[in-house]
Amino acid sequence: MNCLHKQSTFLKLFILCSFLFFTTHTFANNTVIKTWIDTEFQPSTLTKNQQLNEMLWFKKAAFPFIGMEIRVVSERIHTHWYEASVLAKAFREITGINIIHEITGEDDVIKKIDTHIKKDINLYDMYINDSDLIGTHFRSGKVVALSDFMKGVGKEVTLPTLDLKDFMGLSFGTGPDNKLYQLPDQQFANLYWYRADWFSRKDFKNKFRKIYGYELNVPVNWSAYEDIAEFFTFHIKEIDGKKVYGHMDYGKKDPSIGWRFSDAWLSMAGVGDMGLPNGLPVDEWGIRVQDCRPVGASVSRGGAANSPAAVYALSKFDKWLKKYAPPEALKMNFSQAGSVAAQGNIAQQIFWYTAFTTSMIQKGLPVVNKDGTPKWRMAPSPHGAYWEKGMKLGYQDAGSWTMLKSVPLKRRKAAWLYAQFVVSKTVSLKKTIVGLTPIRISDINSEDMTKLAPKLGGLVEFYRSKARLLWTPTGTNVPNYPLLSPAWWKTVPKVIEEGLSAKEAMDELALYLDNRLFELSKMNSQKCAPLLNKKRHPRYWLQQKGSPKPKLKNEKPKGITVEYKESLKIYE
Amino acid sequence: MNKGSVKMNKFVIIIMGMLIINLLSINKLLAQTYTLNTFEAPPYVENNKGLAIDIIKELFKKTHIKYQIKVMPQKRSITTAQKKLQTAVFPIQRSQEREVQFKWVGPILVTQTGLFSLAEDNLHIEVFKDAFAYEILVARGSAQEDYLKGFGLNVSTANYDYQNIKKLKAKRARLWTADTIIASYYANKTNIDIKKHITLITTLRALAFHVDTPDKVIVELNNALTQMYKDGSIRKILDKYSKKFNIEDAIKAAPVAAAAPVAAAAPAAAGEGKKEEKKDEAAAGKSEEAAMEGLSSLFG
Repeated sequence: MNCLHKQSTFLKLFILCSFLFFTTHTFANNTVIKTWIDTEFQPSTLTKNQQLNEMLWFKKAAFPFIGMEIRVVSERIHTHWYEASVLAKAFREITGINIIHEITGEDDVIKKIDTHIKKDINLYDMYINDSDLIGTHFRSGKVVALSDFMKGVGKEVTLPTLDLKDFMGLSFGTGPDNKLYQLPDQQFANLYWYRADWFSRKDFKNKFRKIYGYELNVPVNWSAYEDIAEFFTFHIKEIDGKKVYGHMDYGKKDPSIGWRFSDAWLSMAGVGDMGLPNGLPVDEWGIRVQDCRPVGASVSRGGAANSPAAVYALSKFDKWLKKYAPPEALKMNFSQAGSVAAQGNIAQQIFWYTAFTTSMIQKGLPVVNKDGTPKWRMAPSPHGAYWEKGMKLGYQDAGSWTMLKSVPLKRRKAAWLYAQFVVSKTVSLKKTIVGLTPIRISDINSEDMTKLAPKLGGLVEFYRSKARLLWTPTGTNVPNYPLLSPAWWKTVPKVIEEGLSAKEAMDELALYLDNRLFELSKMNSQKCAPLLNKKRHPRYWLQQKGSPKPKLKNEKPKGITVEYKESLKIYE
Repeated sequence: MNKGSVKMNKFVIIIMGMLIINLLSINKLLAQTYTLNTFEAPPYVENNKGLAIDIIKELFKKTHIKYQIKVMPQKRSITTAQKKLQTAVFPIQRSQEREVQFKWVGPILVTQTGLFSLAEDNLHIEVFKDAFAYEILVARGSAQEDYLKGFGLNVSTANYDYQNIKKLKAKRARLWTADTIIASYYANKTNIDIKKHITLITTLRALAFHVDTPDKVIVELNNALTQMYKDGSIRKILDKYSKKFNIEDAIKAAPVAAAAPVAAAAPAAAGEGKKEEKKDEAAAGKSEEAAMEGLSSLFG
């Protein structure tokens, strides 16, 4: 009896202690959540109460994973730096799951996910990987279809307020099987950048009109871009005693010179077919598909990688780099070239990533006014001579959460919670303001973004316009991105450094792609595996409708320019 | 003999001839001796022995490609491999900057870079950004140095990490960044108690060949390396060293034999996930994948 009494007392004590522990813990944890909401997660499109409820859901869902250490990796841009430095910390305090969010170069991310898949080495629990790899992922059989995961084994760790329809770039991570493989975490486009202050100077406008016969304004086609490049480099030459250039680019042999082309340069020239997101049956890499199977990249197999339009694209790149850009640009890579326009001597840049917006609006820069507004603007990119309405016009990508099947389920679930946390409505507007890589429609349409718009040089206007639909990532015609993408950096620099002609380089590129597609065709078991067309005389394909297109008699039609506001409307 | 069988015989002769030429060219390639440069990086390489050397020896044993290992200073080992045919260097960290300078076989090791302080230091570092206020010790010429400088951090360099840990002990700086396994090795050797605050970055260490090395050699080695990961050979070598050194970080990433997955607490070997989606995984094409693997690492 005495023993029983002792047991009963012990039990009561245990229950009391447990109660006190949980209430204290809950109270403390709720205080932590409220502190994060008040001090960091503002502004938000949610009310504070809605934010609290969303965070409480995370706290509850994370309970089985408390104490785990989860590892993720992403490329190095402001948005991910914010996640790694601030949001990972918040997530740990709110959920008890420790996150190691590594930041590295994009090329390294691709190498790592490729190594993980090929060698079965579980390097990370989830990757923030460009949706350029969607063609690789949906074919590989190694990547978890998130749409299945959310309905199946991951249902209890899927945020009820995730609101997938609110993501602008959801289609980027969706395979031809209509399954979602990659959830956007950040997205940015490649647009045209120009010095609005110089373009509005009357003396420059008059001089330009006198030389070229039309207005100095936002170029709609490459002819106008080329004229403006020549105008600033050779006719204006100096502004306030400083040498200025009408173009900026980069040409060093480096993986990043590959992105300069694979990030849809050929689409801007008009290489591919009509249709979005990438052109069908021929996409902007010049790869033709039959149903979902790639059948060739060279013109002789029905592709367009060495078509006249592709040669035109490379020729223009080479000519402008050597003639109109600062001489040092030839030896620069992507990162080195990225900061040059901010130094104040570049008039325009045809290939400019909006992910650089944050570094272009810092006070004190020569390209920023004293009141904090930029002297520059971004606008839709001009298109080449082969481009027609209804075609893709440029590159936009979404660094997206990607989950591999080989990672243990418990770890995948914990990582999925972090992935959803950093894209949740509670944090996404603040993240957008910090990194300027919007992913949610609700964020871009928010009042806060309206207020911020004058300081962002046209970013908000672009994302609110229908023009953004014409900017898309690499598509599903590319069956293995890590295998095929080196084709670009292995061949393009030969034109710049070795004096190969543009035609010779694109022939080499097309052959490289065909050879790799042939190797992939041996993997018949893979869904939508390549199956090469038999070679035909190029004339056959050039006579067919669509891409590959025959050489135009005039690759430099008259230049067209428009006022900035019109530049967004013409694509609607 | 009818026309059909004459045609068939010619066809067979042509195919046989092509096969013989192919075999001869492969044999010729395999007959060449490759010089593999390396540098002191204990416990990966120490007095011509070590973890990386064991992996390389096993790899070449599987391929029958002839080789010799030469130890020299790190910088020279890299530049020689860039300039001289039939030369390679290991175990170097694969990076975007180095990508176009070599042809790659890897990863022979998956390693991590950590941020360390003396164990007695009450420094509180939760995320990388917390370290920005401090000067950080790092080995000169290392990939870590490039990484830190890329963030504009204030670094203090020394030729070897052995000197860095001594500087940490002498409180000339409060933080030191190094490969976690090398750091652990020096901590033991110098009997200095250190504390890892965070993992900064995972790196893939590789065997990097001169850019004009024949593709067949690279494909052959990459295929053999993949096999070593899948059949558990890499894990076995790592396990051998785990008795002597704290190499937990490298072991976490390396799977045991694919047929016997381990349930790891870290993002380690194929485990739960593999079992769950084994139907997808079981899809045919494993051997095709193996063939593609070599190609992928060659061109990728």
